[in-house]
Amino acid sequence: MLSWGEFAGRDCQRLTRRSLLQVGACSALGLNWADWLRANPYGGQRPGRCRAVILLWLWGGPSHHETFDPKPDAVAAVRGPFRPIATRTTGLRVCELLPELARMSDRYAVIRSMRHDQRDHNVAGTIALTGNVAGAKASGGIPFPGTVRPSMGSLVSRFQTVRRSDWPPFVTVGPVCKVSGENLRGQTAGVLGPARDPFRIDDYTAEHGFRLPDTFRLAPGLTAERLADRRRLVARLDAVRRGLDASDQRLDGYYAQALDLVTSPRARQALDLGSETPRLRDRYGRTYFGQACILARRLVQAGVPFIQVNYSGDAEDEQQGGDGGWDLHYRLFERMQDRYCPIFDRALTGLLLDLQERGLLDSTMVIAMGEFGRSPQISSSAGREHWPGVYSAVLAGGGIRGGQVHGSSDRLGGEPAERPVHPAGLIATVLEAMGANRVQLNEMGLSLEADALTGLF
Amino acid sequence: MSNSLLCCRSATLKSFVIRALAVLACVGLAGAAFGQQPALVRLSRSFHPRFFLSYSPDGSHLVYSQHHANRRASQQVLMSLRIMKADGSDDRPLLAAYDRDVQIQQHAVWSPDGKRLALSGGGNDTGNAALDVFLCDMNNFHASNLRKLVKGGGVVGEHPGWSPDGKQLVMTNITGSGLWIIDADGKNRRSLIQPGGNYTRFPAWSPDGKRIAFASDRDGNSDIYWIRPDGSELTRVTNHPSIDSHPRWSPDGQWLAFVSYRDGNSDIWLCRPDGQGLRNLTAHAAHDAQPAWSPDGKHLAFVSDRDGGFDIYRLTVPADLAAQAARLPERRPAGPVTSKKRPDGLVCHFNFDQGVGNKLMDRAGPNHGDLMGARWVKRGAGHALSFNGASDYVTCGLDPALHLTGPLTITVWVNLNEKPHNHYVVCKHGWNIYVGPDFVPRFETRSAADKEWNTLAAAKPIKSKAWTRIAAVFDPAAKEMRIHVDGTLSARKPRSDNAIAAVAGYPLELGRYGPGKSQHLHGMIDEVRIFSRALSPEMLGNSYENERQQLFAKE
Repeated sequence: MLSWGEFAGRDCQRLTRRSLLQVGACSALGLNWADWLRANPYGGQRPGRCRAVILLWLWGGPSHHETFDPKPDAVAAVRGPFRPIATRTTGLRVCELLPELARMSDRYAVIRSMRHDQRDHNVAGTIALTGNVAGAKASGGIPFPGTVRPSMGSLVSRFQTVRRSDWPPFVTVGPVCKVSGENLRGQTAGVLGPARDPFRIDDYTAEHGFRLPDTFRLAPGLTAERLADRRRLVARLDAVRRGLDASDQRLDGYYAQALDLVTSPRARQALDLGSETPRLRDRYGRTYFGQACILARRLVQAGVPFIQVNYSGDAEDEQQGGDGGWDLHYRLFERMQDRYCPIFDRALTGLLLDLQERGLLDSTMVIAMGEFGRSPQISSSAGREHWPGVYSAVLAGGGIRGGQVHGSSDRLGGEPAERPVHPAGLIATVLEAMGANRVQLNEMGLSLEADALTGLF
Repeated sequence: MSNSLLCCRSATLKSFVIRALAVLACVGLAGAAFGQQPALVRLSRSFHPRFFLSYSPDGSHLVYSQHHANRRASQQVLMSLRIMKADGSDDRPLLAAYDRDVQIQQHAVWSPDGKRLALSGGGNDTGNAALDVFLCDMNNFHASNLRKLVKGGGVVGEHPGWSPDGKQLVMTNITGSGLWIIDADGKNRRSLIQPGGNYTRFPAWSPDGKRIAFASDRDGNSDIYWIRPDGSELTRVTNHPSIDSHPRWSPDGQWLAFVSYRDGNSDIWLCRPDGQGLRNLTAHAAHDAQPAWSPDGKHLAFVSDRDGGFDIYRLTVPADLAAQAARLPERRPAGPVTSKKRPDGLVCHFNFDQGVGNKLMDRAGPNHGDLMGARWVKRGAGHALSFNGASDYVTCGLDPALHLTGPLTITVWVNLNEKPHNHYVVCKHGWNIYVGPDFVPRFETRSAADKEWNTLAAAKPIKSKAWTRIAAVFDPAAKEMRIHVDGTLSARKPRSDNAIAAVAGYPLELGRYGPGKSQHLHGMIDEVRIFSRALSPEMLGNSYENERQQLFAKE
């Protein structure tokens, strides 16, 4: 609920502009939207050729064998029951569970040699999202030394030079990622400060689509027009108060932007999936993930430079009390065939085609990846275990050359055979495409210990 | 595909026409003649992912499971069972009263009398991966008394299928690689088919009770099989590199509906139980899956994302099926080529000499093996296979010619490392050769009554790290078992019954005890022969000498 003059600020219970314009918690740390904006001056370097990134975060760790790196010549206990199928790209075969993506392989590149060395979801997730193990913590474990690095989206937002939207520059669609009740570290901005944390949209139903968090909704009876009137009133109050509260001198603009998101029809239109044709919504799949991908595209159009779509909140599938993540230790084949692959195949295909037809694919990079892959050896529970030794990621758009395979795995899909890629290299690639300044990054102590994969462009 | 997005108007018009035709078909104005796309009706429209459809025996209702994404709080159902009328109306939860305790509700199947549902259930946020078979009572299409089939902590299985008399259930388990049958009162659970491959699912009993269809990758990729309820006549119905899965019998038992990717994506197909008469019923670019026959055999319900969600549709089965069934009388199914009977009785022969690849070629029949970690090692001019004693083995075929319950001879060369466990050398359901930690070779056969093992130990141990040939003979005519070491009769044992109890569905395995997936061999194996007759001591002496000369010539 948008809180307007309902409670006192924290400083000695006096009425401040903060309490007047408390727009609600916009981060996991409880900072409000104005805080977010205040600390996010969009100072940085010139933009690169890529203007937006959509990260499809396949939390739980998809099997590379049943997606983009099948091993038909391996023994049955490794290759599994599914076969590879040809794609539009010579030499690239993908699992038959992805027939639509097979037909459009000229639009994306596959990295088949992603790797790191951590098997725990939370630790691996931190590495995948930040490029570094610092501060990562396994569920119930001891944190790794160091401070958690900023998430990929936070880094991208830090280096944006031009504000093109009423939206914050890093939006996550979907729930907070966790496993065994503990949040994944590395989803936020870390040392860049909570102001660059993602703005999260996690309120979705098939019937109503996506909605802003409760804290961003107008109170009953409070229209945008009335809010604007109050805004002008607050502006006058500000003028009076300014002399008393020097620290707030720069706040006007930030609060105005906070109100922009609440009141701007243009900003709020991005959430209105109902304005899309039913046929297009069908094209993405009427699943949560499919509709989240449409929202991601709409946010790109609204000028948001980094959107992360979480496939699920929990890494684990529902058989473990999760909410449908890709952590398929059990009955992997049945689930991949019945649910995971059809949903993913349709959503990613729809997203790439839609971006292309709107002329956005060249300027929008789409990445689909999880925190690791699955073990070559099939378990006694008809599943595959965690496997960071090698896994696959898909990149498209934003200047990425489609129809290529970067690196390869060995004959079992257990180790990289050539050109191993650490997640830091993938993040470096994203930052380079977005025109981030590596020198400045290094000066901030956030250097990525890998080079960008320039050969992908 | 991209054009489809650009051509909304024409697509919408096309969609309208298709739906109009579907409506016409539904009111009987359009028939589904041979070669035409079957008439189609969309039964649900809420886009929630749905799976596992089952018609009530009177055809008036459908039960199905619905997945709830993004539910991560405790005590919330994650895969709920729902029921709706067969026309899609009156859709409602079926087991809401049990959602807090049984959060996974799937694979529901109606008992033939309509009074019970069997389903796979589990969950409760315990981190427990196990599902188990549950039953609930059905009264006027409302469920009550949800309970485990077998009370207690043990898990009997999942993915149940009723026998047509309602007295038994067939099921698989979490390994997803074997089948079991259990009485409907939860007693008398027994193995129907040994775990094999990685993906044995969707068992379905034929309406006449004589066959159980299922999907399995036991021969390398997912295909449709059936087996007799007594474990005999394992038969491969389909044989295609693409996925074939989710088989369901037509009410008259003449057809199997199943899911196949053979046309490039998931569609609903039909074939006869012998694999003939293949037909793609849906032939649509969308994901079509989860078929369920209406009890009158006139319709198939299935799940499709053709309109964006995982909704339920009903197609009218082509009217010519009965005529087609008459034209295609069932024949022996197309399955793995059965080995021709050889005059010397040799049914399986591995000489191990290809030395490369993941296959062990059978020189006498179709029972080629898949190497599960075993490594090729050079042996002179030839090769043998090395096993690590922990996880390596070779899983071979289960051609009917290998289903040996009568006269039997096995010969094998071994070179073993010391290990404080049994080394299983050659193993099929009902008979095997293993070497104990005392290095004494043993020949085991199951009694005809399937009550006990008859074990015959050789007279003395063999040497470790040296090549030795072991031969084992079951000779019903002589009413004895014999074991030979290096061509010499080592021990014999009377055997009063004249048959071995063996289940056909178990593959031959080298290097481990197959049913237990344990007791792996540490060492090497070479030159395996299996005969469907009892070779005499003289013949075995001669064959030993011949093989020894050949094998040592290798070195």
